[in-house]
Amino acid sequence: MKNKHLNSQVVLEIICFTLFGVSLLYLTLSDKYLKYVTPRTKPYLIFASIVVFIWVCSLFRNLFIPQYKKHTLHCLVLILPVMVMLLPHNSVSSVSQSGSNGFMKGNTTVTQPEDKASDTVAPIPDSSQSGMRPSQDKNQNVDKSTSSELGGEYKTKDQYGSDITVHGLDLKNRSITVSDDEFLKWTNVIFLELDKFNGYSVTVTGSVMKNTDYLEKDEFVPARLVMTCCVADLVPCGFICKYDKISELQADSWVMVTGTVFKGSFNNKPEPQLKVTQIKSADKIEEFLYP
Amino acid sequence: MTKQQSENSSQFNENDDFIPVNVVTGFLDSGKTKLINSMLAKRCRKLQNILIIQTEQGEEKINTPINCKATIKIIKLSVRELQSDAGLKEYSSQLYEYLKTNMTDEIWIEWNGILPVTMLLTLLDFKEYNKKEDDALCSINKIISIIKADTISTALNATGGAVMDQLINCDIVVIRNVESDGQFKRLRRMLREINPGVKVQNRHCTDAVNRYINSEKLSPVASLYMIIGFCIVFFMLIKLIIGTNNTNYIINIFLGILLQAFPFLLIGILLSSAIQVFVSEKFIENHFPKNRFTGMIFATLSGFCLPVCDCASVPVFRSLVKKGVPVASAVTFMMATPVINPVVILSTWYAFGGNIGIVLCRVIMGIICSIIIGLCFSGTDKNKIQRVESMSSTVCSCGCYIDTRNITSSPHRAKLKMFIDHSKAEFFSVGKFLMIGALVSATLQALGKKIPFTSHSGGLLVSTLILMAMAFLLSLCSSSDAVVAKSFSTSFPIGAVMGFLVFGPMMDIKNIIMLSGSFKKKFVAKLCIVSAVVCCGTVFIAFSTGLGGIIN
Repeated sequence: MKNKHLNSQVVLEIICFTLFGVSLLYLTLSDKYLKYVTPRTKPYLIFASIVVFIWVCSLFRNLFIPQYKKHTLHCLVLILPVMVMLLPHNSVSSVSQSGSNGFMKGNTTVTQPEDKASDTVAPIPDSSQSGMRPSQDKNQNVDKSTSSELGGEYKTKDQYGSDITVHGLDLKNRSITVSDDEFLKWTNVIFLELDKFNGYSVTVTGSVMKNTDYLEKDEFVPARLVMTCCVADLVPCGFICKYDKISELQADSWVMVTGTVFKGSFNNKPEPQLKVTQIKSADKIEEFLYP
Repeated sequence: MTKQQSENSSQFNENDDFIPVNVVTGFLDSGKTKLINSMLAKRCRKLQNILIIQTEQGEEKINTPINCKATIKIIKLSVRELQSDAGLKEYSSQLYEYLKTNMTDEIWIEWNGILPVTMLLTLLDFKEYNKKEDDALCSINKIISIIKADTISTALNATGGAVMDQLINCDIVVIRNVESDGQFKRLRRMLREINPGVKVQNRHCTDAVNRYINSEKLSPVASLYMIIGFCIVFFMLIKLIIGTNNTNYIINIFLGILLQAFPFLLIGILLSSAIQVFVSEKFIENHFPKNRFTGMIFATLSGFCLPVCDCASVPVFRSLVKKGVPVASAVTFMMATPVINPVVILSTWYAFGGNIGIVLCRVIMGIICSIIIGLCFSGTDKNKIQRVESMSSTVCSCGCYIDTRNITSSPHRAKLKMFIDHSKAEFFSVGKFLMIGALVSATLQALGKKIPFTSHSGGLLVSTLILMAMAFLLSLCSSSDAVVAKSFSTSFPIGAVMGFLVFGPMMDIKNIIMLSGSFKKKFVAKLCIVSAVVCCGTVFIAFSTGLGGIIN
């Protein structure tokens, strides 16, 4: 019935905008947005939700204005993204459904960005040295308990002169235990102070990346994915490790690698690499790294 | 309504409870009465009681067709009375009384071009008098709008809102005085832009109009359900064809691009709506540099001040062109802003490890390229590039307009309301292109990642072209592309990477799709080709002369 007082197009728009705004806010507040974009986007996403809710409020004014011709298809702009959000999908980082068992046949999802990396993206250590600079971003999800439990605080300055504090340094045993949330910081520090940490034993957790164009037959990388802006620009990051039994490693499985730092070379430039002394299976790490 | 009435009207209207109302709108002298007369000749063969309501006294009179057995009753309403709330109410109650006491099979309303459709709905809303009974007595069947191809622009300028309101709300548009097929197609495209799915009819073709009047409309909600259902089926099919992993990847990338771009798109939309609503054409005329060259410098400088990425610069470009900024300057602005704004400068600096040379090179090349591209468009007429032509400048294509009654009482409130409405409408119109762009780009990234890009074989030109093509296809946000560019820098020469950095923000799939929503294909294609050639040429000339050695 067309002469009814409630304007059905406006009702539909209110429903769609509310759904969209609520999903956006839910993604933001539940930190699920980190699967797609970096923590830097958070204020922007909150701003976007606010604008959407202002639009919802402004729509209430039109709720009782009669309208003859009703359009609905424009609401697809709001419905489709919400539908896509609700579609069952895994985060790109997902490697294996049970990472605790270690060397299991991994889900191939993670190979996609890494394949991409091997085709088009530069060697990981290089980008970690310059591009993947750990930032002072306060939004970064730092699990303080993990880092501080390790003790062994180490303070230094990065290539831009900013302070970096990392944990897990054991000067007595010349060993470094890299916690998951300090992966980027430690990678950066060891790259910067190669001479100082040469010969140290480093323990680091990552997903196995091997058999790429630029890795030798006896090399693999326990890599973590680094997101700079959104999921489209994921780049793997980590140390190149020398290991004899590469074939025993399942690509994409999560491993905790202990190795000794030595001065290797990549593209004729010196860089820290690890000589593996021990490999253990590890739990999968869901989070990306955000520089 | 009596049983006999119901039976009679059922031939024309499936809904037996209501008397069908057909409305003919249009300007004075557009031929409304003529159309009603020709329709009457057809309809009085089957109907017995027809009521005609006229709100206009044109030259043409309602004629009872020869051999007409039906009773035709004519009621005339005064426009001045209708415009006052009390008068409208009075007419409404009179009409209700008339319909209650007189058998009526069908109503035809000749609706004045200056009266909004909402007024018509109020006129036919008998709820107030009809509290006990639950039927609405009559219901609008179809609204037919008549426009004249030769005078539509001036008429829109003169009457503004009401005609636009009628064009947005009608079911059928009859265009008269069409000179050529091209003109008809252009007008049809314009009409469908503001009123999706409207039937457009050339000249008075009574048979066709009669057919439309009797045709059943698909409920808008049903069509929405249909499309959603289609999307789900399509998704299942795609999943089957390309596999779960690829689909998973596409979904992730799509949402990534969307979440990344959406807030920036909003900033762009709010900015462009603010320009559209709060900045008058006169202001731009007075303050925007007249000289072509200073205009472009000014456009470049304003690019420095706007921390927006390419998703935001397209809507701003659109509103700048609409407000009469010369096309050359607007193009320069659109090309320069995403390359040289502070956020991009900072992200490039970080990505390239504080290499000032790369940052300066990107900014300077961005400025040079955008000015050259802008120059290529000097002398372009803004009316020739916009898709919705013949649209009055006071009424923008989103269909918003300022309600003239509100504007006199409180202009600020009306403008704020218009700002919100405009931004909402613009969101719907630009948002769909962002979605399509994100989807295309995500699919390409998922499926195209296995394409080998080996660079060592080609020279600077070839690798520049490869990376520019990559930038175009990936549609990365300009604030993040520097990191990806950095990752290319080990396998590609620095000149090619610069091509990626300069061209990427200016043009990509997402931008093309967003631009083609409001500009002609020819213009978008020209813009795309010109910017590609200029960027590639500039980068090639600069780096083949040894610039690469200096900045590395």
